[in-house]
Amino acid sequence: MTIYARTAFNRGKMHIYLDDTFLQTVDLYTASLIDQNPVFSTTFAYGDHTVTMQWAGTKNASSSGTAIFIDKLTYTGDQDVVDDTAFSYTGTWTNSSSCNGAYNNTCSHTSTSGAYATYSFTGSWLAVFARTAYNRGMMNVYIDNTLVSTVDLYSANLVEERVVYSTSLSHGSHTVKLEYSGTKNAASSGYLVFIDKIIYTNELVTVDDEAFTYTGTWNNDDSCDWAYNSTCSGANSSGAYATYTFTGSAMTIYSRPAYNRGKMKVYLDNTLQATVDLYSPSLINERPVYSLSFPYGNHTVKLEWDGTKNANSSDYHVFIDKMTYFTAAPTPTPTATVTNTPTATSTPTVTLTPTSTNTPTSTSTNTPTITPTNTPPPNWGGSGTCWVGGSSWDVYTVYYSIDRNSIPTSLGWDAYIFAAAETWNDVSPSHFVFVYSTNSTNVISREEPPNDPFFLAEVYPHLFFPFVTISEKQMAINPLYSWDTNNTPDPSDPNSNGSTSTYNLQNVLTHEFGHMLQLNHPSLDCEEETMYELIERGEIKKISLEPDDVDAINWKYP
Amino acid sequence: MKKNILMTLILILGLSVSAISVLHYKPVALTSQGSLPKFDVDDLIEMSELIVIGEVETTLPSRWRGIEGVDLKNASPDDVVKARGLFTDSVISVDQILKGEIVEPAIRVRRFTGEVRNVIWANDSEPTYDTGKTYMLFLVHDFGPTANIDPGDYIAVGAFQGVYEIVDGKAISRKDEWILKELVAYIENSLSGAK
Repeated sequence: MTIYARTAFNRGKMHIYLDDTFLQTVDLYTASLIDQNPVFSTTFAYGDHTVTMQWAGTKNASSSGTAIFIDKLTYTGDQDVVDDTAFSYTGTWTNSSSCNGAYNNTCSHTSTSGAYATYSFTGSWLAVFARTAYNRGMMNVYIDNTLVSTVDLYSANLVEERVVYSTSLSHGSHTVKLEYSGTKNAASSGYLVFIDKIIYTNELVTVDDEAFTYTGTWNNDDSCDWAYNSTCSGANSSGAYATYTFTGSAMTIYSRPAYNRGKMKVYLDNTLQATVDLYSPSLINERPVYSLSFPYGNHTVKLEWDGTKNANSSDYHVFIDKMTYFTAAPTPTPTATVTNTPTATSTPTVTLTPTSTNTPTSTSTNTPTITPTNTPPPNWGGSGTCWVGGSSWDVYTVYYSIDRNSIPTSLGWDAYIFAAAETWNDVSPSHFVFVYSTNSTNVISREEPPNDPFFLAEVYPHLFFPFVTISEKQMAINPLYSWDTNNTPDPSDPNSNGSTSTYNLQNVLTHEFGHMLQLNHPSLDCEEETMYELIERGEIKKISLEPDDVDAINWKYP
Repeated sequence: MKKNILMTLILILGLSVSAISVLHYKPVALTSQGSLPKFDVDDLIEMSELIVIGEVETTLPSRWRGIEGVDLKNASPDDVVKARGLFTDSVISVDQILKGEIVEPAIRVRRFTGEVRNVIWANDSEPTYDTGKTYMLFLVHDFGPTANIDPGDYIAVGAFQGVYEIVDGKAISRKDEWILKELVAYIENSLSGAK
């Protein structure tokens, strides 16, 4: 999916959740107004999902406000990922295979006039990804030789795999061209243009049952509240069938299985593909009951009353709700991140075998795959001038949750907890990320630290007998102290918000998330580091990391 | 034949017991860490209920603390799963009192680290009290989750910050160092309002 917003000078940050799992905090600030700016894009397994966008209450230093703005959201049912290595390059480019943090660890960049890169594809939606940074310039984006946008690749900090441009397209063959422009915004120190990858998709079309052509006796009902568009079609007599002709490559049939359903034959181009059992002991709405992939082209699907049923069913009814199909054959690359995952339970196993002549042979299956990240195992221990490493997680993604009994949402702490975690997530090239998940047993709570009551906050292990595996961490924030959430520096001291009676929440939690990473305290001579263990009232300097803190996470979790 | 089977069973049983023993007594170090308010000497003087100089007489066995703050003496494996950490009490023989009053010549001071059988609980912000060594201690009564376990025990103000080891006429903490006489005079002046 891609989320679009109007970014502007007075925008703040926005938390994005998918299915109640925190994904990212997005900064909506830009120096000038940008309409329909794609601010976030992500991929995930096909299925029902819920996206939540939440006001964060924070902003970057350049913004004059914390407002967030939502314009629209787009999503698609299938996609293909194209690494920068697949582009054709003209002019002087550096094509690197050691871009840690970039997709497949490869990237291409240029600072030379006349340089451009092209890629041709068949699809209906496109997103361009780059690594933005402090020294980036503007990049011209052409679709089919028409300049459609000049995108700014500048950002104050390094941002990996960032969507810098996306658009919907008429379905068909297209060529995207990415060109060095030789321009930049005033804040950037350079003109470098950087390409990481593109994603393009084929359009998913939904066909209501009303669009089918019916033969025999059917009940075409427009008051099916449970159904897509509130329409459905049912039959229970010999000779009843429905047909639909379309141009596409893969289809899914949806029905409403129930206790009185029989079996339905599915034909494609007059060839029987399967006999689908629509029986279910209870009613299931909008259920995908059959899915099939086939070469792109003109096809006719036929759904026919079979007159048979399984022994448990009380009758022979068949029902049609809707059908979906893709308008072109998927063109998977070896690293395609998501494949279609229909969940029909009463259908035979289907293997996707597109053989369209304009695409490579597919290796997709019905199983979703997650792109492996080419990262070495985390390092244990380690130390530098002002950092000390402890043990390490054996994974690069650690989930955490918030104890809602002691930290209810109404307390207003969520944004600061997320921001503290995000500070570590933002470090590049480290691949380590904290992800908020309501189900995680790494719990952050507002309670007395379990040990010394003088601690502002404490991270401690969750015990297991006989202590062979310690895989969970708890974080306790001490309620005996007064806390503030004012991150604005005092005019006389940039390291303090001026409070003489309270401790800044994000300041302390950024330190504690360092412990969640398994970082230890450095020497007491290292007073500027976030991992320095002593904290003063009003202090906010730990909110941003020092070079040794950055070195620590990069070494432990490269 | 029966003898061979019996010998095999005895051998298997013996190896199993050995394996379980090795697993059970393999030492495991658990670490808790956090952040502390930064205190200077003036803070320590003001916050302390008791400031003393004394020698560590002995260190008592470490104990587990339960979720509700109960002392898990003789903790079973099931109890340990409920535990939140180890604590250890040390008996300090008091030589000099700079602030506060005590009835007995010795006090008990608690730290939140320790070792029980095969488990070591570490926290690098906690003080250490080595038997036979002399310390200047800035103390308050334990007011945390272990306050109800042997009430009356003290803890150091600000963890390691409230503990100065006395060595060669100096008072040395992890982040601070004084000539002992000067620190004593500073505390006395501070408490008399003459600072």
